[in-house]
Amino acid sequence: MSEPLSAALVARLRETVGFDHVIVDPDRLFVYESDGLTQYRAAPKAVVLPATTDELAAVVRLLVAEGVAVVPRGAGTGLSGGALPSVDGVVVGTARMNRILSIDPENRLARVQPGVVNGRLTEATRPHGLYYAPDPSSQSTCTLGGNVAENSGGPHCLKYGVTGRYVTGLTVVLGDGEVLRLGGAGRAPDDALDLVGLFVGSEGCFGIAAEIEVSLLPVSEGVRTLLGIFETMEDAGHAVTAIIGAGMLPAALEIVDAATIRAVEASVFAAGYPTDAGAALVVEFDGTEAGLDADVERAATCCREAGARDVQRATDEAHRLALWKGRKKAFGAMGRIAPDLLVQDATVPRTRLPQVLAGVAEIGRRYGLEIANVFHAGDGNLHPNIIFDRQDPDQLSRVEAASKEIMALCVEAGGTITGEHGVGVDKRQYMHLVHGSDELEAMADVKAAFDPMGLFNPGKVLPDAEPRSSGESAMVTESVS
Amino acid sequence: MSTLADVLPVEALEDVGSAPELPGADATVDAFVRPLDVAEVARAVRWALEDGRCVVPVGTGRHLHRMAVPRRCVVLSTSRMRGVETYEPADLTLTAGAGTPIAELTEALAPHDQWLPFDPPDAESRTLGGLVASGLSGPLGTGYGTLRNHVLGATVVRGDGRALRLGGRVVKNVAGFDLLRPMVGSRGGLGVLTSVCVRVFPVPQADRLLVARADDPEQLVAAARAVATAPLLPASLVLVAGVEGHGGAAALLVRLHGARATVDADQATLERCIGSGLEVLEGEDARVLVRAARDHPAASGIGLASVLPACLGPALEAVRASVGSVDLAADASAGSIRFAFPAEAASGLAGLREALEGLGGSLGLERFPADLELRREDVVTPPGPGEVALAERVRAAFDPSGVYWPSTSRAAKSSVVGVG
Repeated sequence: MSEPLSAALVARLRETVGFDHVIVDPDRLFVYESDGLTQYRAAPKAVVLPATTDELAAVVRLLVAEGVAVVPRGAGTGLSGGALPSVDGVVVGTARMNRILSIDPENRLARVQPGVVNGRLTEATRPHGLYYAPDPSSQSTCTLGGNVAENSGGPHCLKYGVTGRYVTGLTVVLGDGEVLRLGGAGRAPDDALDLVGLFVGSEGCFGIAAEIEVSLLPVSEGVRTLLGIFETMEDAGHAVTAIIGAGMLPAALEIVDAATIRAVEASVFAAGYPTDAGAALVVEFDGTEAGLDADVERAATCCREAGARDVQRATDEAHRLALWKGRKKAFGAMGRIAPDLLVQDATVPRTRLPQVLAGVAEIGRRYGLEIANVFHAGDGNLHPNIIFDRQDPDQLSRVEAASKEIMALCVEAGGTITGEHGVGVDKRQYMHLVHGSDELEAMADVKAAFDPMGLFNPGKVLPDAEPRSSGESAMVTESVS
Repeated sequence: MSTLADVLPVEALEDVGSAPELPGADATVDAFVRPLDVAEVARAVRWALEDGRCVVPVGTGRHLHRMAVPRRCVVLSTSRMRGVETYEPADLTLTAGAGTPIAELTEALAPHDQWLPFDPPDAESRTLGGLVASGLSGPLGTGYGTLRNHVLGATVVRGDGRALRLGGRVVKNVAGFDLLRPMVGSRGGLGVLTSVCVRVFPVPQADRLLVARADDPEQLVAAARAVATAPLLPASLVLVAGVEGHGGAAALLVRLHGARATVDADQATLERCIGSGLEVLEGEDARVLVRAARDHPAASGIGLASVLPACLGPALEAVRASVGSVDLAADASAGSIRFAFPAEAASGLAGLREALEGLGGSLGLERFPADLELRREDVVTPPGPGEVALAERVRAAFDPSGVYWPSTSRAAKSSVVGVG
């Protein structure tokens, strides 16, 4: 365990944000030891919770002046260990920066603090006929600041794109405590670089977004959902290819495999998917009411021609939610049957999906591991879920080896090691699979342009720096991902 | 000291006299090279670096009028890095050499009923690399999202001559910091793009143009705002005035893309919003009008006023009051007005900049009359002071020696490079 923060620094932090908002009590620090990827744990020296941009900047200045690392944290729902504390650092949480600052329906914009929960923004803008498009599965708890850090996606980004498309401006606090406004709607300064686009997805390594300006979309007039049940995964894949090939652009195209269907149906989340099916495909269209029935009809035809044994169309909202249930509850259901569940994330070109899925299954067989697949088929974003028991060291080493092979397989197929969960601490070891040393050095050079002292989220994303989680507090070693 | 002939094959060396003319008073073109591939680009850049010359990356060279080159330079054309490298219609992705003309890509995509939904001025004659470097995507950004969201990967030679393979050919990719994003709109200042992967789109079943006409553009602002806040997303929404093909009058052009039934319903919604019937055009008639509104007119100056969409009316008034009754095309969804002005109207630009900044907006220049007393930096809105400093640090991270222009703007902030 490293040296605790000096009493003087704790006192000054408390003066800045209020006594209760600087946490140093080990019992209260416990909940901050990991994010959604609980395999990694480390205790921070302290957690500081500022409420305003000024407080945030002051906190960063105090910490940086003492050379203390800053680990930004939103809701802690990330799945790559991006918010894993640094044992010689302080977690700066945005939980109290949770105000929606303005909603501007005329210009379809909103300004928010980073701790605003994704789903809350959509709720707040819906009365204006608007919504915030990116919808990560954790949208009821994840924060927009976290979404900016991770460039989060979601099932509907096939049609609407990921977070970066909707962020029009940022106020950021950088490594020296400087508060900078980047971009902003309604302005196109001469010779400007896209610093907003560069900041989005920087995983807390460039600075902290203190204010976020996002564009909103008009709520679709209608939505239609269709569920196709297939004998084999291959058939479901053919249906996806046929739908895209026919020039349709569904809002979502999601596949749930046989292992996942069985897990869901065996759980309290049973959605009524047939347990002997090879795969289920959820297709959703949204937009102007008038065109939707024709779209659904064409997609249903694609499914039948690809060999679907059953095609159901939602007839009302309750039915629609029921069709989605097997997809949305997949992780929850598997979490219940498995002692531990590793949610993997990788992207491949869509046409390589059948080959890659066959490869993933083969890797699972070879290592004696059950791997269940749930994925965003429309954009080639896979989530192979490996069921394991972390108490069993032999299983752990097999999970580690299988994960690495899956990543290599995806990269070989022209894909990448993460589509939406980020690199964090978990995938640093795979960065060499997709990037050469020149690219990694360029990333380090650009990080230094934002964070010259290297104090923002050290040990994340880039593989060269050593992770700072302490050996004794990590429940599982770094090699397990 | 080695010569260029030592590092590049003879096919890559062009006669200096055939290089595009550089407008900067002090510009001296020392060499004109047309490398075949990324390795040759890297060699040319390293040679220029060692010899203290700067490199001016050029696509078609048509936007060089935005530049003033302050010192000896090597003009590097991407025109031999041409052609489709990979195209997977079922993946909706295409990778091509940076020097490939957009028209060639359009031809390659058409048999598969796919296209690139980007419509910046003179789109067809731009190169793919030039399009990305310019960062312009045109009014179709309303319906499809702008170019920055659809560039999936690129190969770039940074300032020290090292090649970087950024992004990939998948739609979702968060494997590391997104160094690809600032390449879009970097105007040749971060590196030479040699190859680009973009997302392509299915051609919509119906492409319908709805037109409302009036004598003056001000009369159409309310209708434009009604469409911009209607509960649907048109493909594009453009307000034009004085543009050829519209008889000098003003027109509001709304493009609807989608299935025929969707487009029919959206048209009915828009007619309710505007409160009147709209002239409906499809096919060649629509194409002529859209293109006339899209392309740069042959004026000596072209400015770009940007404001929040709700300020379109006041911004339009400011433009017309400052530089006269000009040819203009406004993207009413984005809140930007592109206007042409003759050299004699340039004296109004400083006042216009002030008016636009007063509205929270900005003034930029796409084309600047070369023979003016006026200095460019006096009339354009710069990024915020902190943003400028950070942008310079980012530029230095890619190009520490300042081999590319406008990274040399650190030494001579007199103009801006455009690569097209």
